[in-house]
Amino acid sequence: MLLAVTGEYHRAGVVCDSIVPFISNITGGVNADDIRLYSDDGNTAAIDGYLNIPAVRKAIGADTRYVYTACNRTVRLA
Amino acid sequence: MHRHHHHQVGILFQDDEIRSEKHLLPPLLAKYKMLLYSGQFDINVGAPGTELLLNTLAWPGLEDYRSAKRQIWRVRLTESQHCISGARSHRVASLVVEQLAGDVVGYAKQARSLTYVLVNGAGHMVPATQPASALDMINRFINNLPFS
Repeated sequence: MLLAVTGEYHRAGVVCDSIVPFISNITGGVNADDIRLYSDDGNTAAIDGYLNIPAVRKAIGADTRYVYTACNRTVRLA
Repeated sequence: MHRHHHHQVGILFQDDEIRSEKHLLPPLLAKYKMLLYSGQFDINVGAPGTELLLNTLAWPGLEDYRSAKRQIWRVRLTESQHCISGARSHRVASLVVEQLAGDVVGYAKQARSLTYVLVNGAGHMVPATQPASALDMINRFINNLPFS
């Protein structure tokens, strides 16, 4: 907290981002999005399915040339 | 922007993420009604942090919010069915709501334009882990129905 208050945002961010991995590590890999789970699966299949429904895509004005995929690797590496 | 799910983008935003944007909420609350919700089993954006934020938010409704009673939220069949009767997915929605009818599915605090909901049995992706609760929550919020 003090790092953020004193404007050291980068250092504060590094510390903040180390907390969840630490918890995951000492708990044997608990999923921080849902502590009942021990995998990093998430629920992206349901999100992909929903966001690719034509009516949903139309409602949110999505570009129909592209298929939506959560956490897309190509986008991530771009 | 959901930083957690896009690692490379997230790294670029890392220095910004730690900066508080708490001050942006009061102007929004002055104009719009707002729903914040937390899944009970989410520690990435955990309920205690959200509750601390809301209990210290500098806006005219702070005292009303702090003194508001925490309401026990149960899915009520008649209200939820009424709300979803016009929806295309009416049948499916009715079925999932029926399964939870009467159960305690969470807790809510409301004051003025602010609604906070803790969703029982949910992870970070509330609609994915508790779809019926999420549907009931959104219906209540949109239709200005109480959670108690």
